[in-house]
Amino acid sequence: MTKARFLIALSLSAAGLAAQPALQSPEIGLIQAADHSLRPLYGIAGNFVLGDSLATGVVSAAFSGSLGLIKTDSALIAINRQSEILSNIDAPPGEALFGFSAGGASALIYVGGPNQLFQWSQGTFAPVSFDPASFPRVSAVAFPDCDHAAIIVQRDDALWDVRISLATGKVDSQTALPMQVGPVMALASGDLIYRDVDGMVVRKSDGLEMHLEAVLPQRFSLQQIGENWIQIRDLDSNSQFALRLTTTREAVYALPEVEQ
Amino acid sequence: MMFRNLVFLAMLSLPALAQIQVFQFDGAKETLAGALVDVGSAAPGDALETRFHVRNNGTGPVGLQKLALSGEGFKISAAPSLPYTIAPGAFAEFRVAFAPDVTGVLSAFLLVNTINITLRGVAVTAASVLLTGSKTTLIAGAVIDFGSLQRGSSKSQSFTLFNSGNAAIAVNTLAVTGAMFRGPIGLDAPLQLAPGQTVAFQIAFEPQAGQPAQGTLTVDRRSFNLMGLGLDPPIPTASIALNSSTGASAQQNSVSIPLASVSQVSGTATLTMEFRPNVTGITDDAAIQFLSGPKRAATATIAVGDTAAKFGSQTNMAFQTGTTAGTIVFTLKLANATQQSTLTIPPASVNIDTAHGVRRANDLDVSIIGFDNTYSASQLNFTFFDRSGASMQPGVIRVDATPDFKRYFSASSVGGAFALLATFPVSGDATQVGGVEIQLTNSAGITKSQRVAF
Repeated sequence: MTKARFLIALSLSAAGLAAQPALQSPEIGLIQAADHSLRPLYGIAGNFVLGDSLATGVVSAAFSGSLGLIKTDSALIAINRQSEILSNIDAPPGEALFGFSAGGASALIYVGGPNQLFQWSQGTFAPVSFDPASFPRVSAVAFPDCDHAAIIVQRDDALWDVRISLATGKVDSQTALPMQVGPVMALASGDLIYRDVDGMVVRKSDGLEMHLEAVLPQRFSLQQIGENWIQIRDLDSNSQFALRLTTTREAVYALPEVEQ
Repeated sequence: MMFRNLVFLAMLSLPALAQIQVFQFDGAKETLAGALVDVGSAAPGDALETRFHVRNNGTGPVGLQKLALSGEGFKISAAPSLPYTIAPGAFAEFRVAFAPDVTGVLSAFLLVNTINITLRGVAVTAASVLLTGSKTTLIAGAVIDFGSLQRGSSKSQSFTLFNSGNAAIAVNTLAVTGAMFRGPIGLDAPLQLAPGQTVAFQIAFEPQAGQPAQGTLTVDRRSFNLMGLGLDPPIPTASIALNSSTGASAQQNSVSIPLASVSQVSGTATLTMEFRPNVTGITDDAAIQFLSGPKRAATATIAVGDTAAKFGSQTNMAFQTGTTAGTIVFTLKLANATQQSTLTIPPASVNIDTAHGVRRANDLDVSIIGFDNTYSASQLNFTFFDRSGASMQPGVIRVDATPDFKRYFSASSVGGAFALLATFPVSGDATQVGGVEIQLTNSAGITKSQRVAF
């Protein structure tokens, strides 16, 4: 068999994915807009276009690139890339924090009001038992491996990465993080994202830090909106920003506002 | 016969006498005029005006038939045409000017229908007041108009006091009132003026607001009206400044509106964006927009002390340049001025933002995300390499994607941005394929990707 036989045809038609055309609008992900709607974000870095609202009344939302999680005042909803609902369960009121697994197919969801932790895995939501009294101020959650949840906790001295076993709910380890206060986001890869005086910091799991200059809102939250994209959501205005995490292309961008 | 006439006269006059009364009016309140009214004092050359109201206190109309004045130094300066009917409860005004030519106590007789009033005025020796450089003496009540002047500026007017008499004159009061007038400058009262002596002083008009101003110059008992108009300074000239004047697609740039000088006034500016595509058949690119507020229009405010207009609290407004070649036109409207600035987005070869290769069981997926701001992408060339880095046969695979891109761009809502997926069915051991290099052609040139690994 010669190498020439490996490549037998090129198709720009939907040969690989029947539902996916060969050319389409580039989709960065899904964002929670200032009007509490969930909207697709199209375009490329530096050239964003907000799509029409897919859902309203969104309290918190995140998107891994393949899995979307939406928290409304009373429900927790999982959607796929095509925005189809995969599952929908009742959930207590309050904002949620999300942490996706590597690859983005699974996730942990922390609902702040009642201190509840859920796991999305294999198409279903399941509560995770843990001692909520040990986590009075949760800043972020991450899904570092299939057996553990990483709960980033604000303590008086610093932020701590507290790992709990998903099987037992017991604390396995606690590690002080290099930053003092949030907002912070922890990724399954071990990367940390937080702010400094000049903008944002992306701290890789190997300790390498990348500082990105940006004029940021005074108060904001961080949530994943797509593969390699983080939304910086201004809590006090309509301003929205996006942090690109693509290696060597890291940058902070302003996002268009929703016309109110 | 005489008896009958007297009776007739009485019948006419008594109701009139009963119905009308004469009041002195100071501009604010009326005081019933007695048989003797002291109009005050004036210097020769001055005119002191006294206002009177003839009020009808009856229940029926009454005619003002007679208004007469006799006496040196007095004259009626304003009066209605007679006869004049005064409705019940209404009044008619007339004015008497006391303008003596000589000094001393002067009197006159005023007749209003049948009411007799003696007017008395005192003509006093006083310094003449002149505008410096003028030979005309200002009479009391004269208006000195300083004209219009920009807020924050100052304009001085010189005055002269002159003793035209043969005896010394004491000037006891020399004062200026009015928030926007300052003075007297250079002269203080009390002072003595010898016969023939002149002294000068100034009054400055210094408006602090863009509005009419009024004041008074008082020289002893005489007052002169000061007037001026404060003007707001014009809003400074503004310009359109782009953070980067280099036009390119898929950029986030920002625009600001610096002012030529520190603004002394507040105002509002409107900045609009318009896009003129340079691609046939394309009318717009939705991604070209401001990143805050309305997509193509921004309102900026200017406050006193600003050196640049502000969008909210910021001095610049971020915008996107889209992914279509053309010209972005900014139009600034400020006060009555309009100006424009353009940012040209030149045609460029296809830009590859990301390129990925995914190996599946029987296929190789090559995905490209990028943009073509000419909407003319045509030829795609793929060159595959084995894991040792050697080019694999059949060498370059060429695909004319012109119709695919044309179809896509005709319906695109994201300008020239695209996500392309090319799927290559593979027979044999796909794991032997190590990477691919992609070449894309459009009307502006050829773009080559770096090698994309599988």
